[in-house]
Amino acid sequence: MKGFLVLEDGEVYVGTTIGAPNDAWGEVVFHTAVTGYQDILTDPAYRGQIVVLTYPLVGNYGIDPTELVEKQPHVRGLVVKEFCVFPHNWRSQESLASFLRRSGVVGLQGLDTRALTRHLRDKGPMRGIITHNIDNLAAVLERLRRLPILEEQNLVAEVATKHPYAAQEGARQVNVIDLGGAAEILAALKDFPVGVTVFPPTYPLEEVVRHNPSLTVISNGPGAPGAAPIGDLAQIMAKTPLFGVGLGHQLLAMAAGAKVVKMARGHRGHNLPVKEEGGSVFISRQSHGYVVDEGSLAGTDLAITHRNLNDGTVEGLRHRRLPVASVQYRLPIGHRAPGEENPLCRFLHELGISS
Amino acid sequence: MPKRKDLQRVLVIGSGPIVIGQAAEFDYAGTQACKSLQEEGIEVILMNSNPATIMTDVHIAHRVYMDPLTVEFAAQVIEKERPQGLLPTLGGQTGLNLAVRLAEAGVLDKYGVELLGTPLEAIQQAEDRDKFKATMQAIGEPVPESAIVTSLDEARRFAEEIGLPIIVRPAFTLGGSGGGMAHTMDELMEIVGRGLKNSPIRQVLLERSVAGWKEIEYEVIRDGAGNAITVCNMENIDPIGIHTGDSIVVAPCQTLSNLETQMLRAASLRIIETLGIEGGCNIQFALNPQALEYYVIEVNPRVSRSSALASKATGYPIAKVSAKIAIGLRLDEIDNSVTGKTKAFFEPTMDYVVVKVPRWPFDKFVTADRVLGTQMKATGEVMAIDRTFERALLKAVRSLDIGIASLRLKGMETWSDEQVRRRLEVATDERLFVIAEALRRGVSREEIAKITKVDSFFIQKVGNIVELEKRAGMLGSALRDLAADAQPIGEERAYLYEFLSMAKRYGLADGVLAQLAGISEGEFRALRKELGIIPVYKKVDTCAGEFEAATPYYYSTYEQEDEAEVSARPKVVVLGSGPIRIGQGVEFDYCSVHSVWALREAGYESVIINNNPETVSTDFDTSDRLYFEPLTVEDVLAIVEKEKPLGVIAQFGGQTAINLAGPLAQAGVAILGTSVEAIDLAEDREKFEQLLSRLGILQTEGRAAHSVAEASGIAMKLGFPVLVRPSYVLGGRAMEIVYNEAELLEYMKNAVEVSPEHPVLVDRYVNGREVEVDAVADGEEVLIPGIMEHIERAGVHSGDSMAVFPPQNLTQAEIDTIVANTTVIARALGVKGILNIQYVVDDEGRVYVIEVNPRASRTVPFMSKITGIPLVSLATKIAMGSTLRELGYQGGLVPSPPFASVKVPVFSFEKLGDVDVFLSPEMKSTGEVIGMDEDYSLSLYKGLVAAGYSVPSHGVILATLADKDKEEGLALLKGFADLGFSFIATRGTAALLAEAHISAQVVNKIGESSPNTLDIIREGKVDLVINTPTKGKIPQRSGFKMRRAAVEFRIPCLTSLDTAWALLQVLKARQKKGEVEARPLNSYLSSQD
Repeated sequence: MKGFLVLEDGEVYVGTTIGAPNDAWGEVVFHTAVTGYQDILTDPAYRGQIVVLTYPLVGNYGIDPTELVEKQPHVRGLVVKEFCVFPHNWRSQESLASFLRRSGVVGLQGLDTRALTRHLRDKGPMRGIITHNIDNLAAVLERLRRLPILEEQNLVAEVATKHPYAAQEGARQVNVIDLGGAAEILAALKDFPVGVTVFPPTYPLEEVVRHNPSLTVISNGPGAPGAAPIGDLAQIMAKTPLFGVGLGHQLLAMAAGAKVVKMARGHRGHNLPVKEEGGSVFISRQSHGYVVDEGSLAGTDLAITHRNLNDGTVEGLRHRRLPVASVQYRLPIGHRAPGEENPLCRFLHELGISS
Repeated sequence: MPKRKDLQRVLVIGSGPIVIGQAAEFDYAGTQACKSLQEEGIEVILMNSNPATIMTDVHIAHRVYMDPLTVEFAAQVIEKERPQGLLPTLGGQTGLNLAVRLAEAGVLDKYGVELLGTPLEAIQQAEDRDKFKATMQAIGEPVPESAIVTSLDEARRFAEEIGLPIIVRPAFTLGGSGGGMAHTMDELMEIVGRGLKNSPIRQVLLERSVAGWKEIEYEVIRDGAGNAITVCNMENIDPIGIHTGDSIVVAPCQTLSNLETQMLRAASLRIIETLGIEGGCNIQFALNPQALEYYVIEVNPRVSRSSALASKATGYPIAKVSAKIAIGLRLDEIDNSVTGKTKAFFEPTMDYVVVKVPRWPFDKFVTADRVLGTQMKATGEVMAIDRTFERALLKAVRSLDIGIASLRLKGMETWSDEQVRRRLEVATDERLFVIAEALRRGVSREEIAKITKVDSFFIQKVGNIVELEKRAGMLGSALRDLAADAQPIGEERAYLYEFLSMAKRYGLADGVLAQLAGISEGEFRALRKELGIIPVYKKVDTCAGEFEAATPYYYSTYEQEDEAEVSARPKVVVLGSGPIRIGQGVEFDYCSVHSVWALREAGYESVIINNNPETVSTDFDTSDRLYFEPLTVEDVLAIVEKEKPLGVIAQFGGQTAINLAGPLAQAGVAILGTSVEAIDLAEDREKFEQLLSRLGILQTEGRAAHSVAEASGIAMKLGFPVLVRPSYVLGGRAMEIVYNEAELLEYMKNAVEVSPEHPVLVDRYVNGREVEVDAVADGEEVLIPGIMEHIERAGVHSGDSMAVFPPQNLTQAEIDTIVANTTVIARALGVKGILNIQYVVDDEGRVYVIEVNPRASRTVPFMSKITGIPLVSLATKIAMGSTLRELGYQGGLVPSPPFASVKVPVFSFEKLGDVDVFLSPEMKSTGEVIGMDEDYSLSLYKGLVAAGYSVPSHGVILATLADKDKEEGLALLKGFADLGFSFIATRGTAALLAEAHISAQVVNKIGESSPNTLDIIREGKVDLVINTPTKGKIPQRSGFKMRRAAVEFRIPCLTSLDTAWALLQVLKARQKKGEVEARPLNSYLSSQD
């Protein structure tokens, strides 16, 4: 069916829709990974967004059900140049289009996604809507502009755990405050002999740290840091070791007095270079549209530990006096190359917890 | 880690002549590396024997040694230059092998030369199969069960243990030469025997076959501090079992899941970390298509053909970055020159599909074995970029320049279903087209995938193209109506518009759609443009649009946004020469690049169009704008219509470019320089004959025959032998000397299709000295930098004969005639730019014109280098309106320099089974080397050594001469006898020698009882074969078999008495003189002043 992507600045891209037949709206962002569409779709970090994939041929290896256990799509819309009609891979059980349809995600294809990407690169992420009718474009735009912006949506609530739960048993205790991205933290903690409890972000922070856990990790999550429903981290910062990832990193920085700003275009890809201050460089996954403002770090106790090598923006912080650290980039998962160290594991080692 | 301060002077070793498995990609890599080192203030000393390259231009390095790439010469260069470092990883396997030998011979230690980049131990660990296997096993990387063997017995025992089929790979060879897949014990013995002979370390790897698995490559790069990235991954459409150089390759991988991609990426980075590579590296994997399982197949610890492809595919300059790493820089300190903002430490991401298709020489070698296996056979390759796979594939097919614009081979429709099926089973160069034909015949995707082991993803894509063609065929009459009457016809028009938009988006060529509609290509194009269906151009930017790119590297696609902004500056388009093939090699890339540079110098914006990923011309910083596109009328016109240049220069891109001049001019494009009329005049045999006779210039008499009977008649009139060839030729394709009517008839029947539109030329064969002239003319004056004399007499293709400059056997009167004729012809044609004329001079000193090419020839780089006269630059500036005088030159023959330069052709016969090696009018060589010296004999010596001839000072010659050569041959053999050579000869030749009181061991011919010539060769009893064939080409004949045996056992085989005379002269000179001196090109040139 003919479909349109309408952006809030009035740009219209024409394609055909695939997947769910409904309209979809969200913040439109581009992502530069060549493979990994299934992982992007089901990544809570992209909750509330319409993701444009820059690689033109998508869906070639279908959907692998073994990778989908307990996972659901979070992306609201997926925009590509061309969906693969006949996927072919030994693990594939269905096509991407069928998966999108089944899970209510709208797909749009057949448009010049490079032109769209360049537009978003120059103008920044913005609201957009995938719709089937633009006969009255003014009305569509009007509707679009009335939709909430990212800062006005509590996306974390949609993806974070609602109740605390114990994830694993062990002698020393590590707590996780889940903003939606607890899974990759739990994956990293599997190798450590620690007990892990996961808390909702709305859980009273004093309660989370009441029994002096060895570490509390604040996970990644979707949306704007200002919209995240979490208590005042500053209150517990001096009392307990903390580690933040992604959105958790931004929240920790804000708690320490820094500012987080919206980026001109954001970092979304699987091959972004990070440089450790005074150390080595490595490749990371990134998925953030907000970043800690370097200028605002003056006067705080935070020191920069990592930067994005492309634009020099902050990718990691560390408290000068307290056992508090955080990274903006995503924790490495799965097959890892030499040098692609998991910073959470390193922090645990520093705290005297070994795997 | 900043740049090392202790390195001031670095020796770079190039890859030598172009052979199958080692082509122009090393000119590209080497040039980039040298420039990159100079950028850092390093004094670069270059050693490379290939005169046809940009790399050996005097300004690419501080001093260029075009001496043989042997330990003897390299040691001399090192002793003279005392470099602190040697960069060995940019000159292909040749450069790497030489560096290893220099290290092993103690030369590097003696002079304190450090190997830069990847350490020697890492190279050995990657290249030595045993060490490699142990290293991989130590880090848990799976390698197929394998064994290193050094004898046939060991090979047999291994096969008995693990079973067949088994893959055989000789260690340290180019393009896997001498390898193969053995399905039976007999095959195993044969391939291992050959492999042991081919391997410089007499080692052969036997390996469990994982044929049918996916072949995946990773290009990785690592710096001295251990930072590493993957630049690109690539998927071979053809499964394991077919050499990657012979596979259609797609970048990035299309059918791998994220999990598989991450698994292989991590493995690649683990492997280069373990090996300690410092620079670029290529890793090949076999991936099980049915399970999460892989094997590491091979690691190339250097830049390679694949890294050139990866560089062009992503925009990431691997060679340049590798060179900087070698002098101590870290990836995060090196700029990403594409974005100008980011660093070299990042992993490029693509937002398009790249398809590489190999270019095979089977159009030339009609008898060659076309079956593809583990031994590479392609001479070159093309690359195409698009936003759909289908169009990238079809653009690549168009770029091959084989007269095909779709997935349909001529005559395919006459194949039976059974034939189609059979051809699916055996992989040949035609496989892609056979898959398309099978789909047309209704064979299912699954079945084709099962038979070919090509992933059904790709078969589906081919199917999409087949379907579109089918629909276009059904819509043919509607399209015709639309073209005839451009009035809107409502819904039908909208439907046709949608269809054509889709057909163009998926790459169907104008010509193909026009044919299906039954209209001319021009009419179709007019319709398409009227409908507003025109291509747009996108940038290759390494980052999928995330950052604005500074480089003007473009490809076309049918989409919405055109991002190639056209400047207001006056600009000129230079047409490149497409893929490297026999007859059209790297020389034409050299010319295209120099033309672009000259345009820049003259203040024009230069735009290049080319599709060869191996070349300097397609490096993104060579021209002001690079369009990576097919060289067809459709694709070039689209760019011209967008860029609106002053005109197009077609004289430097070989026959590919010159063939486009006429159709482009017809479409209203200005062809700069020599006019299209002049080009036609020179290439139209009859018109040109009339011109020459009007000018009073002799030519080899001949006529165009339009039928077999006519050809016979002409030959009778001229008298045998005659030279026969088709009218428009490239590299003497299908050209032959025939000695009698039977041979003529056989040729007319088998070698060519004669028709009124495609006449065959029948020329009198003049047996004489052949000379060749390149000249630059401005319409008035004609500058002749020199005359080259061929060492083999007429009848051997100019590309295959050795040639010397200045000429050694021409009288002043003959030289004067050549100069006068060249001047008169250039003026008469109105040449504005460059031209090449070949002459033959008979014993009475009569000078005949053989052919005139109103374009740059194969010898232009050679002549430019040794005379120091920038021929291409002059020709380009003349094409833009300058005169020779304005450029500081004048007409006439330039005085010869006080040294001799010899060009020696290099062949790739050992890579191509069933190809006869004898020299003939049909070109067979793939590359060339140069030998320079003040002494002519020593220049010949250097040339022969550089070309890989072992020049034995004594030994055994196997001599078998044709009757026509016996008289002259005797004198020659006597010469060798005087030097102490002994002889083994066939009966006739032995009798001849006996008459002259030279003893020879008599040996039987092949087919007679043992010991025959074949046995003698196989047993290694012969050091040199001199064989003048009675009649070649037919594989069943004994001479053919003997020559092939010599090639396969690496014994020099000379088939022309002239080549043998040259060798004799060298041997005599070597007996008298001591060490031969290595000298830089610069010093020769300054000795001229």
